[in-house]
Amino acid sequence: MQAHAGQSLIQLQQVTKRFGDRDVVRDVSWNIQPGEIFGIVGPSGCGKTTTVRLMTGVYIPTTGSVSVLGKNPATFNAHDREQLGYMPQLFVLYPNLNVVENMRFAASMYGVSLTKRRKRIDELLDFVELDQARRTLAGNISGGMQRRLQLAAALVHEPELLFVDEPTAGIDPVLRGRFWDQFKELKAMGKSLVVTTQYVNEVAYCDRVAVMRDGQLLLVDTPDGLRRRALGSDVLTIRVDAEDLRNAVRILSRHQLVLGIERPHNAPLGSMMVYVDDASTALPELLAALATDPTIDTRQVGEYNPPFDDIFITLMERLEQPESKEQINA
Amino acid sequence: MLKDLVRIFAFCAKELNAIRRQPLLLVGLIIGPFLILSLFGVGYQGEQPKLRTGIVVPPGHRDDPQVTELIKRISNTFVIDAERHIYESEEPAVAALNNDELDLVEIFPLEMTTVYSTGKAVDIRFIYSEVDPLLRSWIEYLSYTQINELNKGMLFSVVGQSQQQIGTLRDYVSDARQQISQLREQLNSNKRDEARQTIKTLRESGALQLIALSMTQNGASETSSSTQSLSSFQASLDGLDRDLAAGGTLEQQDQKLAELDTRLGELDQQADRVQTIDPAVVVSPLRSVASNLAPIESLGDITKDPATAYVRFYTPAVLALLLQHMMVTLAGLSLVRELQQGTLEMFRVSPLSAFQTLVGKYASYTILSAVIVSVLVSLMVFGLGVPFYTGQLLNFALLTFMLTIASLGIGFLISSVVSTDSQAVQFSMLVLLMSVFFSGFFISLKSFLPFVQNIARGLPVTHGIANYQQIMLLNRAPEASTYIWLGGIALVSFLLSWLIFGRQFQRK
Repeated sequence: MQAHAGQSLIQLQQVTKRFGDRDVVRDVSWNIQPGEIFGIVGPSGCGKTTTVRLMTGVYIPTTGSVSVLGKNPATFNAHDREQLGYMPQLFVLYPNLNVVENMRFAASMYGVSLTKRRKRIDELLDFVELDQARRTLAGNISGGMQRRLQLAAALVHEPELLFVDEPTAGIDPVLRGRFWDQFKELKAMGKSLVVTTQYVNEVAYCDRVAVMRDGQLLLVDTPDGLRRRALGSDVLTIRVDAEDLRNAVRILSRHQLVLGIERPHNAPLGSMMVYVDDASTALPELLAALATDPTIDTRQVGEYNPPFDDIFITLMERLEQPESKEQINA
Repeated sequence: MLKDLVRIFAFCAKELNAIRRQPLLLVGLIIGPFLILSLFGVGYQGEQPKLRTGIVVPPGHRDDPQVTELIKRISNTFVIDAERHIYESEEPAVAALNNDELDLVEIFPLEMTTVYSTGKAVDIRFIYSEVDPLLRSWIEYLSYTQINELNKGMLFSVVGQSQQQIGTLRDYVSDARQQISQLREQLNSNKRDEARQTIKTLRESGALQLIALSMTQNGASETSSSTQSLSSFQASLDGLDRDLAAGGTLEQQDQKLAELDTRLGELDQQADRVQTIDPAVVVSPLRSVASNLAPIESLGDITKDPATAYVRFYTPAVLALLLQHMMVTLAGLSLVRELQQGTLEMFRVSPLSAFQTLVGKYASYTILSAVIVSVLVSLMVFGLGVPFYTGQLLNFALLTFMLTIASLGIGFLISSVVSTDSQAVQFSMLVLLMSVFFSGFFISLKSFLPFVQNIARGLPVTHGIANYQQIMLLNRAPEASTYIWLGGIALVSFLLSWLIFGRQFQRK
């Protein structure tokens, strides 16, 4: 089953999930388009997993509505569920079965026929680089390998839409990077992914990101959009010879595309941060402006991409101030 | 449909592989029961424990030959160390009992040697210290049978003495009849003086008085016709003597003599019968001869080889109990482990349903049950010589299947209501404990009140034990009611498990 052309793959409308008297997820709305990697980022306990469970149909919303692949997931039939892949936050396969046996179980669970499953399992074990460990008990492989096995198990029935709940939690950065490479490959294959993470810098791999805190959705944007919201504009870093800095600042501050200039701390002499609306448009024009003064020796130019950790902290700090919240969301 | 089947059988490979990877579990499931039964066969003595007994005899009678004989007679059922545990006072014997050197103290009073002369029954006291109700009953039963045997022994001796006395009586009777015969001849020949002389001899010999006395001593009633005839004849002899002296008619007297002779003849015949009866028959005139209609040849001769008979008898029960416990425990842990491990969350997202999960698990454990029972029964038949009738193979397979699914139902029901695996183990152990007490494994179902019997029938093993024994020992097919009960248990437990597990499985 596919979402109709132009229709969102997943649609949440003012979804609230209450356990007892506590709203674990409150008033969340978003649309996820087919073929995108949609990240959900936020600190532990912010409601990411609950939201994923609402989208997979494990939980039914207390209020609001959820639509996945054009249907309410709570009413999915077996065929609808075969379109979903799910990698839970924890390793929930069987430690006393080996890697291949776990894969076979996952394949059987989704009704994959015996004839199709062997080739598919081989491909997937190759994809997640577990081919060498196929006869090893799942309980005896490393945590990272268990995550990859869980991912392979979630893909064994070739789902259209994959929910991946904190796949990189607690594993080393190299392996995290490899996971994201695999997600990109899946996207290239036309799959849609919903990925949750606590690692803010991983949002860079996503097409769009939802930022959550305390069960609430703070904002949904592209990674660049998030950066811009945090910094207020695009930022260029320009370094000239230290003796030319005064002239360069004078020229740039008069330029109509420049919104402001800052001298960064702990940066080499001659460095400056130039705030502009759109870095890609402004950069050639500013270089041309600097070139009007032949005495200025421009040594380095580029777009300033601060780590997303910093961006996230900045966003959170700004969200603490009520008047800033509206600005950011705008 | 095909996908549904694939989903159901997802669990077969998974569960069987998981169990295959636990060699200790497999050893425990198959070799364990076989070793237990083998040890039972080797070590079981086939009888109740012999009691270490101390004997207290009257002071000064330790070396009395009568005491020696008494101890010899009771040594069949009591273990008596004649060197250490014959006492002449109660205190050291009771001290030995309290120190667990003895199981029982038996006290013989001096009065037991004079019981017939005093005419009063004497108490033989038994002192023991036992908590186990079965052992208590056993001791009391042994005490009772021992006293019965002692009483019979004493009675036997008395009967022997009486028979000797009856021999003397018969001598008197013979003498008396000879003289009466002589007297009648003399009367018929009208030899009055000789007749009077015979009467005198008869009187002086006192034979008739001795006969009367012997009969009284040997228990004949003083009002019996023979005794009365003898008494009246004493008077008749006096009358005859008077008539002979006076020269009167003798016809009436001859008639009385003939009557007395007849009486004495009868008495002699009776005495002969009593004398020739075996004293053992007098003491125990009735014997029990029980006939068991059950074809128990397959058990072997219980009197010659009790251990084999007991092993063969208990093997089907052990098999049933083991099968139920194994299935209850495996199923009991199964669902709750999925819950604890988090796989249930994966199932909920997947197309798998609670029904498919349950049926898949039923299928996997049923296959496991078939494998384990096949191996176990082979070991029992070829290793322990337990009988198995090949003609009952289908009935055996059907009963095993029904017992398996009924036991699995109870296990899954447990698993669907508990929240941790330790709770599941606890409940499985409770089912086992209940089964040991109420299934007829050790205690017959007939020992319980009807409502408890009906509760016991709610346990699959109750039907398993009775019908495995029927199939394996008696070569008989189970009753249809067995399958109705097991099917009922299986169906109800499945529906309840499905309902409860289905609610856990449901999207929340």
